[in-house]
Amino acid sequence: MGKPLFTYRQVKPVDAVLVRSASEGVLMFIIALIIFLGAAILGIDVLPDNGFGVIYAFLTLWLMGLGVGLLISVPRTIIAEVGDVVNILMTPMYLLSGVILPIAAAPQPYRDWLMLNPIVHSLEIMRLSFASHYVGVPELDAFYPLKFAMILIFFGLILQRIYKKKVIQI
Amino acid sequence: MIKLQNLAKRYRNDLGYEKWVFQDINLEISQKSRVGIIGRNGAGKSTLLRLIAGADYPTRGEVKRECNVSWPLGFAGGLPGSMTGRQSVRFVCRINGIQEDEIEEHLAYVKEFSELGDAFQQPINTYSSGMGARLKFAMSLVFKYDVYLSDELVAVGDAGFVQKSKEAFKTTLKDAGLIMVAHSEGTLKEYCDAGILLHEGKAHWFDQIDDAFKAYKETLAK
Repeated sequence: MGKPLFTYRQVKPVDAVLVRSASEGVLMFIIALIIFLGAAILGIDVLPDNGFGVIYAFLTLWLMGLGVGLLISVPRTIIAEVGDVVNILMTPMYLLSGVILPIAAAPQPYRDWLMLNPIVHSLEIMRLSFASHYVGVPELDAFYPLKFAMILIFFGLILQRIYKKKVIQI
Repeated sequence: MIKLQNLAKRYRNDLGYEKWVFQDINLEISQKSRVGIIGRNGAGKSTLLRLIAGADYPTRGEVKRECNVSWPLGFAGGLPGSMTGRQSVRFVCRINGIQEDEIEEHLAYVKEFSELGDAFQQPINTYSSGMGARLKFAMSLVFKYDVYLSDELVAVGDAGFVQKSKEAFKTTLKDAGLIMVAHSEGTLKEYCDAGILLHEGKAHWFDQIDDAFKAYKETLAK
């Protein structure tokens, strides 16, 4: 999208990923606010019990998105088909993240496997922060998604650096 | 000083690497010199300019810019169509580290010089080709560089604008260097003293642009 701007040597491919992540994050935040505001007007209690928890969960989700973006954008540029594979994986990942089906309902040992997905942890933190009477998954680890995000970003940035020249040439 | 060391470039397509555009270019271009790059179609003139600008990377070798070098000024690409003229100028100001209070002056200059009027606030993909060219020409003049790189940047539009552009371009170039790619022999001889001839993947330096053209014509005769 920002391709013509690579004409200026000050603009690096990683800038496109960072700017896109930032704008998506702000957009997501504004959309959430609008939805909450709408719900509040309809008389639904939207105030979370623990606002910091919600912000933390939101941040970990956003950081993981940034990490995945940094990681995927390089192979996606070099090999176009990587994008198709990612698109195919998105639907099962969506279902496994526990957005629709509660992970707490899954029996062991399968729940442990599902809990490897860091998105599940962030979503559980989000739910617990909104409603403290929510019964969460016992295996919840609050720092797991943050650690996961840091690792993703670390390797993502390395990949961006290694393939900087190659990406600009395509 | 711009130093090109063992510069080599080849592009890659879906089938693998294409053949070398050029190899083993070793040149030192002083900050004040005015150089025209000559060569046939596909000889790598624009590619060389893009490498000097840092818009693309060499396959091997290195470009050392020891002075402030512009982007490849020209009418091809460089601005996304969804941005307005004003946003584009502001963007290029900011990546060039121009202070916020000076940006307004830059914006006013470009708006006035390009004669875009209210269209300055409209997205670039609504511009006619002449309007786009005027915007890019005005943008080329507003930034101060040690060396300007020009890729087919020629004055376009009605006679009045052409005259104004030529004069402004010459004023901008007064204390600066220039590396220029152009198809018209007249333009190159008007602006450049020295020449680089790109022929069969090699670069040849000529202190006089006339000699470069002489050698170029010999390569054509073969």
